[in-house]
Amino acid sequence: MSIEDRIRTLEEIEAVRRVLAAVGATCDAPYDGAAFAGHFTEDGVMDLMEMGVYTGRAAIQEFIDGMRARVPFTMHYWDGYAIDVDGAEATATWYGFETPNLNGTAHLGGLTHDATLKKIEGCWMVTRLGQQLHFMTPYDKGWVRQRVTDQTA
Amino acid sequence: MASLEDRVQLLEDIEAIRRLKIKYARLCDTGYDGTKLAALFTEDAVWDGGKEFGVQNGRGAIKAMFDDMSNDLTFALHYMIGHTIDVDPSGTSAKAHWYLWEPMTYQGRAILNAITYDDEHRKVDGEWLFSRMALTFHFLTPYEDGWVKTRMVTDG
Amino acid sequence: MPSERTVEQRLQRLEDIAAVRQLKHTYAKLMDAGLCHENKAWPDDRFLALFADDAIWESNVHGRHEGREALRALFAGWAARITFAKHHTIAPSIDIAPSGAEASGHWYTWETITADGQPIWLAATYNDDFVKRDRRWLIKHVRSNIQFRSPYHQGWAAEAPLPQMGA
Repeated sequence: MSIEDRIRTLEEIEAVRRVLAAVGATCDAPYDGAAFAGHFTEDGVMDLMEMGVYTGRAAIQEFIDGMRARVPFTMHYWDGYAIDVDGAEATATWYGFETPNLNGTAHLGGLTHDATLKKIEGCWMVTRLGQQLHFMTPYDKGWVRQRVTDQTA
Repeated sequence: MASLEDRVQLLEDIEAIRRLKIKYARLCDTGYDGTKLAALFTEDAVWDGGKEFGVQNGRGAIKAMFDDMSNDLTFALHYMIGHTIDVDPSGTSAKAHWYLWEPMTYQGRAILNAITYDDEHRKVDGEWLFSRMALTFHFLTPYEDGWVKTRMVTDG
Repeated sequence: MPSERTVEQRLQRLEDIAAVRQLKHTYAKLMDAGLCHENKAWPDDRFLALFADDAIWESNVHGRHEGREALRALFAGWAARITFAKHHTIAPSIDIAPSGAEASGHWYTWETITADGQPIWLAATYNDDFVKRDRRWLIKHVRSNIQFRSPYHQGWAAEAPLPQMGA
């Protein structure tokens, strides 16, 4: 591989990391559904497993904007990325930690995420975002006493 | 001034070492496969868990430790955080520092674990491995207690 | 990446991102080493050397502190009350200015602290500026937006939101 190609690979890894950081930040309170969905391709998919599958920018935006009423506060701590770039396609996995206020109670959430991305007109766009929920527990209980609080209620 | 080639190589090495640490985390969090975890360490590597968890010398001892880990440690998420990675000018060894934030279930109890790692790496046949992983435990607290009431559950 | 940039410039940008990322990690690491029972002589010169002479540290809770001596006093005040801290500082998002001499970065921090003998959760974001002087990156301006500082056993839903600073 030429030096230029090797630099490009490193640049792309950094660029994907940046896009995913922006995705994570826009689903923090106060939530920016339009900006969040804007990182997805038109037919992008967000697969939240027990919390539903959302296909297309409009559905994704609606879900994120709807958080405002359901979850008055949260932050998404996303890191531990493993990013692989192959030309104009990329895959990523990472860890997520969340601190939502659900039903008036502080919660700790432990998740892992995965995504596939495509580079379109110079921009990395998410084609699929997945999450695996390991726990979402009230701060005073912990994941052994109560592993998951239902967020869709 | 280092050549372009050397400078690119350095950044690639940092990325490779970062990936190695994340791979370690993933293997821990998906059942502690001793064989796969031990393969991330050099033959003569040291895993140093301090006075709380002891020292394992060599790949065989490290494998045995991880093979036993999931008996008691039934759930964990290893959040590998931050990092400084300093690659030696030789390009064949490196040192790294990381934070770990780890919610886990140990013997049926929810435990919060805060660690910093001081890692050492060697490049063997073009592949970065851990030659030493040293853990400093800042707290290992039962979830109900918090780190002021019980800093280390192992003290009790 | 604009194609008019040379290979060398593109490489330099990646090196600068790596350097700023390591600088912020070192900030967290040295602060946590300082904020502990055993250490009475913090902040030391090694920690303060991470900052530019005219650096600013500000937050929505602690106000604005400008210049190295003001920073020294601010941090010494923390050291008097905080006997344990872990700044888990994650999710770096770093921009290097076209000049190559300035940078900005965004992080999250998830802190576990013991202040006045009590365990506290602290969540914040950093919106920081950096400057390169004599080929070394230094912290120019720390903006810490604290989201909550909550007693361990109380959680963060019971408190009113803290006012936030602009970027």
